[in-house]
Amino acid sequence: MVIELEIQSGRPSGPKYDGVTGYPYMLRGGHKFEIALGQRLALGGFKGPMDLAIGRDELYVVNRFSENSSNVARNRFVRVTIEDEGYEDDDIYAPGPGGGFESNGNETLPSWVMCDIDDEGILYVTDEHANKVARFRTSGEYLGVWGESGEGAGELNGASGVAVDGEGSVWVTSSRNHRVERFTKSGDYLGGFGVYGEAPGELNYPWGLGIDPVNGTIMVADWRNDRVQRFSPEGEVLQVIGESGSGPGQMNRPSGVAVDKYGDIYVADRSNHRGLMFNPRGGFLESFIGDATLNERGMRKLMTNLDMLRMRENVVDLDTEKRFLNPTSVKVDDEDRVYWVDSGRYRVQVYSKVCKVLGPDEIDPPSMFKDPALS
Amino acid sequence: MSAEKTVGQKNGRSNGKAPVLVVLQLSGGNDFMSTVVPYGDPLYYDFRQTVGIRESDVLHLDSQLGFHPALTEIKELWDEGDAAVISGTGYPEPDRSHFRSMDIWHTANPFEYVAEGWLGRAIRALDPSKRNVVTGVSFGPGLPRAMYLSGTPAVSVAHLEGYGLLTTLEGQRQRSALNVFTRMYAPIEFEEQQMIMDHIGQTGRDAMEAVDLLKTAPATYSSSVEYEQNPLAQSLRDIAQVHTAGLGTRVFYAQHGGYDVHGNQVQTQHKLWREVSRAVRDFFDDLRRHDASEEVVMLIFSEFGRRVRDNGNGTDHGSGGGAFVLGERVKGGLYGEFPSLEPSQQLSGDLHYNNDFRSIYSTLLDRHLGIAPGEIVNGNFEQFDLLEPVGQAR
Amino acid sequence: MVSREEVSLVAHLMRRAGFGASGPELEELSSRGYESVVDDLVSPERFPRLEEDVLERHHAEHADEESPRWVAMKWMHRMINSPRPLEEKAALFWHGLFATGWAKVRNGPMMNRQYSMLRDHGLGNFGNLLKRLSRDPAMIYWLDQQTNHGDAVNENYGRELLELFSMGRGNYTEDDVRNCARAFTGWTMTHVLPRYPSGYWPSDFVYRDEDHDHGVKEFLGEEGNFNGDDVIEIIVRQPATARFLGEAIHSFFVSDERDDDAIQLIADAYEGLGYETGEVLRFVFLSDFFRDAAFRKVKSPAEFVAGTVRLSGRYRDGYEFGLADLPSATLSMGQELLNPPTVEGWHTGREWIDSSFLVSRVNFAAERLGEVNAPGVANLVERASQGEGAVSAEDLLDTCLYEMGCLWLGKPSREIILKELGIEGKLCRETAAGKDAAKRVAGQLVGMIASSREYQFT
Repeated sequence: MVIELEIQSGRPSGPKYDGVTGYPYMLRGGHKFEIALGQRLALGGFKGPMDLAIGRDELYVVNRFSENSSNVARNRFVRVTIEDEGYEDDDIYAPGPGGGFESNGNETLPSWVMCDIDDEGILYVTDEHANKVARFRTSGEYLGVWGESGEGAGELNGASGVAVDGEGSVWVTSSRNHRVERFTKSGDYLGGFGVYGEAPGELNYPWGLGIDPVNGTIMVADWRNDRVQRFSPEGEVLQVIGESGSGPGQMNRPSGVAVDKYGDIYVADRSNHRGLMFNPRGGFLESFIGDATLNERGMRKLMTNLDMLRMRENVVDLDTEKRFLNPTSVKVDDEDRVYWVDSGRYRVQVYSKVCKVLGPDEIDPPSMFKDPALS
Repeated sequence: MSAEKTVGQKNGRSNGKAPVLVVLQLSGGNDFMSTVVPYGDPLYYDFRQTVGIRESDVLHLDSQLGFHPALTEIKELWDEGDAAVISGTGYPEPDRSHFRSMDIWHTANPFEYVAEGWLGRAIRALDPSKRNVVTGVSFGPGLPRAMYLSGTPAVSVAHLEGYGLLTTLEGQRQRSALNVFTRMYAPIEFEEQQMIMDHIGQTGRDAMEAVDLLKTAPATYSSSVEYEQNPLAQSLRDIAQVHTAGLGTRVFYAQHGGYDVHGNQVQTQHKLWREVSRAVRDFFDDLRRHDASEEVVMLIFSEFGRRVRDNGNGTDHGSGGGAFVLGERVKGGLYGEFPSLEPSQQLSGDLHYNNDFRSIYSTLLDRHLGIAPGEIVNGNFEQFDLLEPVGQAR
Repeated sequence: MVSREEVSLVAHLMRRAGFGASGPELEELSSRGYESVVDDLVSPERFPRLEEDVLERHHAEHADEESPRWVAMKWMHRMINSPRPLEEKAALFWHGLFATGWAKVRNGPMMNRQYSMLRDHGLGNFGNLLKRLSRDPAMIYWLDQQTNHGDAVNENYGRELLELFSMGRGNYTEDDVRNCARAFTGWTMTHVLPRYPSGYWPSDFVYRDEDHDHGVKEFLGEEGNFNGDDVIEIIVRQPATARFLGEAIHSFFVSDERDDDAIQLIADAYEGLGYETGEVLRFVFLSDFFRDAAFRKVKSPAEFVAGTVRLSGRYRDGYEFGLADLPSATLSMGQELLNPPTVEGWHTGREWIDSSFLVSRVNFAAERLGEVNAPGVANLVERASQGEGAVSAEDLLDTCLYEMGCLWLGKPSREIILKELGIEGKLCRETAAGKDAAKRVAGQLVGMIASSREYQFT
């Protein structure tokens, strides 16, 4: 395991949003693969997981799929915990075919995309064709929708990313308007930013959103520009990370972004089938290609299907099974876990971060520290 | 000359009506072991630790077998002597793919890929001169392969309500478009390509005739039976409407999906069989009230059964399954031996089939519809003695 | 100003070499001249591939596992939108000829790989195409080629290669079949991970020399220690192969009616042009027998659906919801893409017309072209109702036929439609009300044309 010691700037001082300040000094020791949660729906697991929200003790996973025998999209929230490997999952909300709501019969939400959870435990999920944000309690109780379809500021057109910030604002990507919009929890419009283009600060069909927990800045997966950008809540661009390609730190249609409590940035590099990690300055640190092993439910499936087991024995290389396929989203929790939503393989791969935070007096001499962003 | 049989003939009905076959397809691979439960065999509970049906819940048929508790109404038919259960259905070299296995049941050909369906061939035999364009009618999502035979008309109806030509148009515009359609597809001299033009014209007229015939059914139908609001119940209600309208339909088809219970089996299967059981009972009650039940026999089948051992939450694709034949003509009872659960007797973890499904087809074709089964099912298969002779039902 | 005849000829070309074109598209194309349009069609590399990231992003519920429905949806989307229409048309042609079905293969990535191979190489050298086909995992599995061993020959692929994919029955002996199969022993595929618990996995071709029969083989009069590629080279040299391709090309691209002279010309072209399918198609499209064959074929369901939707202007943007209905529509008309019923492919021509299928065709066209808000329909009706002065119903009918891509409507059908409309005199287009009336009539005409017998043809 490579241990990398990195300088971060000291405690808050200097400009608030230069992308560097406010983060701790730390030693990084890479990531350890923990577990793959869930498997195919046919096993009671996931099918087409798009995103997840982290609750107090459990995860809420957005699933979006279509039965092969019908054209109608189906969406559902599945609740899982790490302890049970996503085995004892539980549909907290599974509307009927077409996404119609049984509770009021009026709403049709065919195309769920992403989700987040607020400090009161309310789940928010976007729908990119209905252009709505739907809200649920974690019990599954449906709380209604908000959002107006349209092409103006504050209107939604291809609603996709959603993130609740520390002040309780709900940020939503209006992808086809190339904007990010800010709402109150009940959907009152508060402002937003973004214009179409490829210059810094401009957006092209953005997707996922992440809030930096240290300073409240907004990270945007600038999907069709193959980069992520950091904005202030006022819409000022602060940082641009990444460029088109499949080399180290390059991106191909990134769809999700998250920032952990140390300021490290995780990007779901969807069409490169990998995850990327950057330091707060945007220096590339690590990529994730997936390490999933068969979990208990996967093993059980094989034990009842001996011909499948035989088929596996004939496969020369089982490595491909570990790898990501179209990872759509990434989330981090307070306990240094990183969750990659491995959409194409119907699972969530969980890693834990190995690191140590240092006080300023522990660093001596500073020149020994390597910062790839500066080299 | 039509093969239609009526009173007094070998396979006719005592009420003078031609025999009618209703085929109900359960798509996804119904778990036969949970439908007809071998509760008397301790091995059943060894293999079915999570999805097993408790003995106390089973609707007992004898000291070994019992129906799934959701089959309450089918159990009533059983008690009335109108339900035959055929265990261990399958075919050589089982295929665990839904698509392929369903194709095999549809084409009655386990060995070759063919396009023609067994009911298509049956419809041709019943009405070789194509006198009736609605001899075969399918309700549900698209024409099943079973009903397809090039040159033999078979009608596919999603729902009887709203069925028709040019139904997306409204009012005067639709009437006008239909007028034009009718006249454009009339026999017309074209300057060229007369043969293909005639074929399209004739097909268009057949389609129009089928639409017009079928649309008359709801108008003449009234019933005190209230079917449930689900697609299967509505399909069977549509069949009852067309059958009681006396349009001469001999083969009906309906489908019910969702049986692919890899997970969440207990709840899913219960819900599905509640729907089937109630809809089937309502259907036969409805026909009886219209004095139109005697001539109807229903076959319920699925493309395969499922694994003997459950996977912790459901069951995976298997082979040997089972079928039901229902109707007043049916001699109720168990047919075929229930396959052994002994591991040494299983076929790669499945119930070992012991009745070729083409035996059931042959029985229904020969003894019910009165047509020679050999060419339709690609061979001669032993038949079941599960139908009462004509006029002696009940 | 390009003549109506020229526009009409280009319309015929675009229906056959692509999936149709509307009036405005045709005017643009024909201004470049027929031969130059043909040249562009057979040179797809001049045009970019369709970008599909938006399509994939907004159809995540289908795109998650490369299901066959998803492959078919993407294909329909390309038929409607690709700047390289002949590539997609050629893929459809080869798919019908090398018919491989999902029902047995059961692997989305493998079916996608075969379709992509047919599209990428379908206009190239026929021998190379056969070599790729023989290495295609879906084909290998479809015809049990993985069970064709040096010490236990399975003839399935060897037989179908000769009978259905290259020469046709009656041009080889049973010994040729056996020796062809022997040449392909050891041609197999990597084992695929089972679909559960994590989804579908692709497979690769592998050649196992130790499983190959290295003995001397006599094949079509030649003798040697042939391997698969040697056999294909021998097959391609056979006059029967050229004739077989001539028949296949004629019946797919030219006419449902057999024409032995034209078939022979195509066969000769195959031999003369080095078995380059793109060049053979250039020859066909420039030939008189092709130019004279407009509306001589019944549209296949894929052509019917793609052409109709193309005209409606729907699904131009990958974001648009509902694309999954299109593979279902072709299925209801008797053609499930990527799942032909047997290795013989679909029965075409008059067999596309069956009462259930015809109801689906008529209803689909009426629904899609009756949707006045669909951009293509709105544009068409707008254009048809434009112009100076008053217009008769008959002129309006002609304009609609033209705008729909120079469609054909026989005299009896024309009279029936005009009689039903019963419009005496002319519609004045000067006033807003008059223009609205013209639009309304044009909309009605489009629907009637789409339900006609003639609309079944391409």
